[in-house]
Amino acid sequence: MPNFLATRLTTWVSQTPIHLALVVLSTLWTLPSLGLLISSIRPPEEVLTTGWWTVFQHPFDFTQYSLENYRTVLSAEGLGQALLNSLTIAIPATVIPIAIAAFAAYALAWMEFPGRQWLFLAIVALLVVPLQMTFIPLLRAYGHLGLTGTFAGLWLAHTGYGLPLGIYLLRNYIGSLPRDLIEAAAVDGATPWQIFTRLIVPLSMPAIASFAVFQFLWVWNDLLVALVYLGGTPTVAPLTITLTNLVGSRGQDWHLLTAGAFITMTLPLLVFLALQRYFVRGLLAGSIKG
Amino acid sequence: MAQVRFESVSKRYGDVLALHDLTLAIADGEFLVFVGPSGCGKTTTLRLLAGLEPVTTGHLYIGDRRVNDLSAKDRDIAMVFQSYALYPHMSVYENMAFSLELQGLGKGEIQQRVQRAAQQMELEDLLQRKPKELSGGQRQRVAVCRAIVRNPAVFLMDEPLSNLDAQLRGQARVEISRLHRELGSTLIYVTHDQVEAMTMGTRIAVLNQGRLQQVDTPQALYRAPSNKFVAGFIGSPAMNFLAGVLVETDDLLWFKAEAVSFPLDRTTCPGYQRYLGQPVICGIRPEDIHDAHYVPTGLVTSPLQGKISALERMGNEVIVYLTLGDRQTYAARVDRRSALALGETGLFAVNTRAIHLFDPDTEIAIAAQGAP
Amino acid sequence: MTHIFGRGLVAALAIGLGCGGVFALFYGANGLVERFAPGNSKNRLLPWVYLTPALLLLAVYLVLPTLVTIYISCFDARSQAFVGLTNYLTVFTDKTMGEAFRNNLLWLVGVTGGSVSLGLLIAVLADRVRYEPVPKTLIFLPMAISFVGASVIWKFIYAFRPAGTAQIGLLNAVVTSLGFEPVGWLVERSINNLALIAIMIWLQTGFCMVLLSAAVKGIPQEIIEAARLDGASEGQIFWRITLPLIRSTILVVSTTTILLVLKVFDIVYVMTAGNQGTEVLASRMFKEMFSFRHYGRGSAIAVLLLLAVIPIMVLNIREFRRPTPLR
Repeated sequence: MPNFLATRLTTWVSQTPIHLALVVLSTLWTLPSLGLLISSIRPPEEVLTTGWWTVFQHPFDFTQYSLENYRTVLSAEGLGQALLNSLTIAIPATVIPIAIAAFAAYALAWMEFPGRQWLFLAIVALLVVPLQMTFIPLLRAYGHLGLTGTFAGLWLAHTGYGLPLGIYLLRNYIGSLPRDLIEAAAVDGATPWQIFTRLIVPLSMPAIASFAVFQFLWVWNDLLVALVYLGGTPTVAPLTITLTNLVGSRGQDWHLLTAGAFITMTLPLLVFLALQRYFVRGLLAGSIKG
Repeated sequence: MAQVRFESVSKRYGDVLALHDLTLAIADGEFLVFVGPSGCGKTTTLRLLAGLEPVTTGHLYIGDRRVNDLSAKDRDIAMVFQSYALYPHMSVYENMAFSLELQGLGKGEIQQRVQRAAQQMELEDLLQRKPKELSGGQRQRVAVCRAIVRNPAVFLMDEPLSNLDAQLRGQARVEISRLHRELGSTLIYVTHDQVEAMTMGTRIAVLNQGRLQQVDTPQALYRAPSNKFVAGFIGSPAMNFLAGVLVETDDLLWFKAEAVSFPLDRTTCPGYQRYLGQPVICGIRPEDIHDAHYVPTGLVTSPLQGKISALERMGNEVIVYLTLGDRQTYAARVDRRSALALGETGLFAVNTRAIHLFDPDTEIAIAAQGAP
Repeated sequence: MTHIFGRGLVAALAIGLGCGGVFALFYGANGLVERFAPGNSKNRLLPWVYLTPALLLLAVYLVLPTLVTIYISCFDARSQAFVGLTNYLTVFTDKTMGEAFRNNLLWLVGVTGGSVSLGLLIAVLADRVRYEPVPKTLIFLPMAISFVGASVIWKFIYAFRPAGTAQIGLLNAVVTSLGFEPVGWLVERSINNLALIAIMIWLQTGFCMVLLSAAVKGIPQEIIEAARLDGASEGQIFWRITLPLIRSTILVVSTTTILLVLKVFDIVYVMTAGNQGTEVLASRMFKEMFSFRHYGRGSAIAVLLLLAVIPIMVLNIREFRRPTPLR
């Protein structure tokens, strides 16, 4: 028994550098977010005069914390409206491409028509197009059509940009479902619509969830596309734009910036923690997004 | 319930002819088995009938309706797939109710019919389970049950037993035969396993390379195969084939091969005249070669000497592999009391009345050629 | 209170309209074809019913704009006069563009090298301890944070106060406590690019780690044990067994990171707006579009991006097709 303990001890000691390296790296990666979180709940005058790490002198003195900053940014600085706008943008901009990509993927995977493979390859090829390639012509068209600064315009843009990846992902997954299942449903009397809604969609949930998580985070965190198509309209601006503007106008008011940044991060972090498994798959697959 | 008719049906995939000019009528209530080696076109035939593939040429009828242009859902058929194709996200009950629901039946009627079918297959206790919580045998029963709940005009089954172990397969054969008797519907069954074909089918259709070789009852198929392929395919171990010539001497008909020769009974070889002095192929089933010491009484036999190269004692019988001096090995199924031993030369008796003769070029049975 | 409720209602209505609309579209089109298309044509029409919305959007949002952008990259600022390749010449000779090219290259090398090697290091180290999920989750967490959010986080880290006053930025607090003068991390031309690159490494390492960790775990244990029996040291096992076996994943991770970095925009836009010599291609293009209103040059930069992306993307898709991510 002592022998066994000694072995355990030597293994532990020989592993010390590994433990040390992991602790250092984990700390390095966590400190920035931790500083943000702590600063966001400190009173303004303290944030601006002392470092956030000073709270650790009396970590359990709760009088040094307050939620005042959050109240200010949500109302006075317009982050409350921006949060609503972000939801209004991100939810349809996730649901619409899923629906459109899923139908297209089903047709490409299981319906017979000439040029099927060729069409799929062409769609995958669109993954190479950087979004920058599309801004100028679309912006002009949006100007003519009055779509600039509208939610619908942004939904459609995000849908168009998300489709190549969505179709690629879903077509590969749907195409790998057993042929027998789809044929069994056809023999059982299902129409193509019923096969899609009763069989394909429930069975493809893992892939749909992956794409959903990926697309949602992408849209939620997007700044560029929103900047281009929403312009400066504050009534429709999502969190990313509002926060960016806040950096510009209140660049030194760290108590507001930290609270604002934390608000933008909350939902994606929740989605991330709840659906990490799908998120990993989505990232893995999303690694080729244009 | 319905009759099924293939009229000159062909199926072509690109350059490959998967099914060639199939004409076959399947009577109402019949249990027809398509059998053949893999790639023979039997599954294609079933898929054409199910409406999962379009027919290239020819006409397909179910009942009085020409169904070439009807989609699968409009053909009033049910199919059991080799993989069972149970919907993994639905319970057993939902699997069975799915097609009824699509037909627009009411909840009460669906429940009634599912219950009745589940009773028939003894699945009442499993209705709330998901397919992945079932054993292989249970899944197979659910797949069959999902088909019978619909009460279709025609049942199609595509190798439904190939994923079961030997013991369950035996039970399932009995079960499916019983169901067929009870339901009285037309049942079309595809398998590569001749035991399934012989034990279950009221008629068997043998396919090879996309062509129908012979359709007949199991007994007739065994007794009078119409060509060398059918003769070799039905029966296990397979029929032995010897190449030789047919000669007539002293009022007797002889088959002469390199190593052996047998006298033949003219009455069992109609149509032999054209082959006198010509090469023929002679087929002998292993069960028609006996240990000379244990010949059943009343058989007309001819002696045969062979060197024993392998022995399989099965308990109820012995399979002997022998060589006759040519390079081939022949199988004999002999009495279990046989004392033959490996390596020695044994004395056998061939039942000469059970010999089959085939044309070496066309491989068609010489007896069958005489028939109109 | 009521107007918050009212705004929430409007948002909910918009969401419902957007999401419901797309389903109504498919349901309606499918119903029309099922009811009115005669017998045989139904099966030929249905695939197109399901495909048309996707194809239409792809055409409108990707195919046509790409072609138009290539076309107007050969025109002047307002797309009126044909100028041939002048825009490309300007782009290649302009001083700030030179800066952007140089910075993009710096980003490529820094971020790809930094995050891939750190990701690999963490993947291999974490594989050897029992509390593996903890460091992995902590390092992966920034993946969920937007570039804008990350920029604020790091802007705070880099915060600068004149010497003598209390530093509220972590980095300068460390620097001054060591007895040095505080540094203007985002202003000093020699280091501000590196300061921005560090943010991207912080964000991207988690991604590299997750993919590389999966690859490392995918190596059969028997191979490692066989190497150990053959007398290989842990170091030799890493360099001679592990590394060659995960080569394909390293390639995918690297190319993916390169694609991301090529188009990096948000961090630069929020942190420095491309000033003090931190311009990159994407932020430059944004300026050409919105500040200078020079669509010709903006388009030319976009075309350059496309040309840079294509070969990497082809490489990536080719490698990417090997592992199957969803099963």
